[in-house]
Amino acid sequence: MKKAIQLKVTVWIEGEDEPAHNFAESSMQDIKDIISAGRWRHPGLSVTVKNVVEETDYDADDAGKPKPM
Amino acid sequence: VSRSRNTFNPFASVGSFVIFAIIVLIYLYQSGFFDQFLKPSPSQPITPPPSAGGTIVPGAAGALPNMPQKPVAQQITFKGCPPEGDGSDVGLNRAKNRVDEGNYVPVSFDAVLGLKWPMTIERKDRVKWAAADTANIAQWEGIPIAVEGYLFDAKEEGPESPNCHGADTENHDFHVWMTQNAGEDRTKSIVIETTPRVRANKPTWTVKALDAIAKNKTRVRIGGWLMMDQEHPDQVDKTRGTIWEIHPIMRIEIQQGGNWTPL
Repeated sequence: MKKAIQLKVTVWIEGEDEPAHNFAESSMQDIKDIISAGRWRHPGLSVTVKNVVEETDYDADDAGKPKPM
Repeated sequence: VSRSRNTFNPFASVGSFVIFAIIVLIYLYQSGFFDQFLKPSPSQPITPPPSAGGTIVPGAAGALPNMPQKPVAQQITFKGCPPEGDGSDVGLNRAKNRVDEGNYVPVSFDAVLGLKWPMTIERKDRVKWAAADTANIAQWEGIPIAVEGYLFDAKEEGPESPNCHGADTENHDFHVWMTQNAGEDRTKSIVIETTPRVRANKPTWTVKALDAIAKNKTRVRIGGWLMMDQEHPDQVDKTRGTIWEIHPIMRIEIQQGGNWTPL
């Protein structure tokens, strides 16, 4: 039986960076690379990163919504 | 003809020296030795905002003033983080990161709560706003105001672009909900925020202190800059009453014995 699931994963990324460098942009690219790098350990799964959005909605108790494109 | 193996070869010696020098230079570069000459040191002193200055304009709280000529916002680079932050909406970040004091005009809570905004700006970067929308917001944004009310709660935010995604508390905003009446829920609250740049000179402005004010239902007077945060319309009527904010907060005063005492 072929199964599929769409997961929402919250990832905290921390590291050294120049203050004015766009950390969000580079981190979003990095997480795609990190997920891609682990695919070989699970050859039976087809993994597609569909959307990566920074969580900026700290104001509310619930999770924020991504900006419209 | 045979050549002596011990013949001095000046070119080989110079070559060895050049290779050695290159290795040393690479090592020094990788160890960060040249950073002090190439870029500002992290320990470079910041230029914090003045702790003094700014007044509450005498008079009763009323409507928002008509202020076509507003004070020009002053910004600083804080711990290497420029006023524009490290990305996202540069215009919004600059508004959040002003550090200048003003003469705060007392306005009623309802004057801020009832202030409208065009829906077309919601969740849209400022550079993409229509000119009419920009003019609409500019009519009100940047007015120094003082509003009285009560604190509902205070919360430390996480890493954000205006603060260059700094990971520590000293680089986070404190998000505070202000209500008109004591004990009121936050559905009709005004969000007011302290920023790291301003807090650098306000050591008593802690989440713990703000929480205590909220818990004790002490009346407060908040002075700061009226600012539009177009990022959070989804919270209106849930965890806030408007996306107009007092941001940054420049003064926090608590009512004690009929007088206003700075926090």
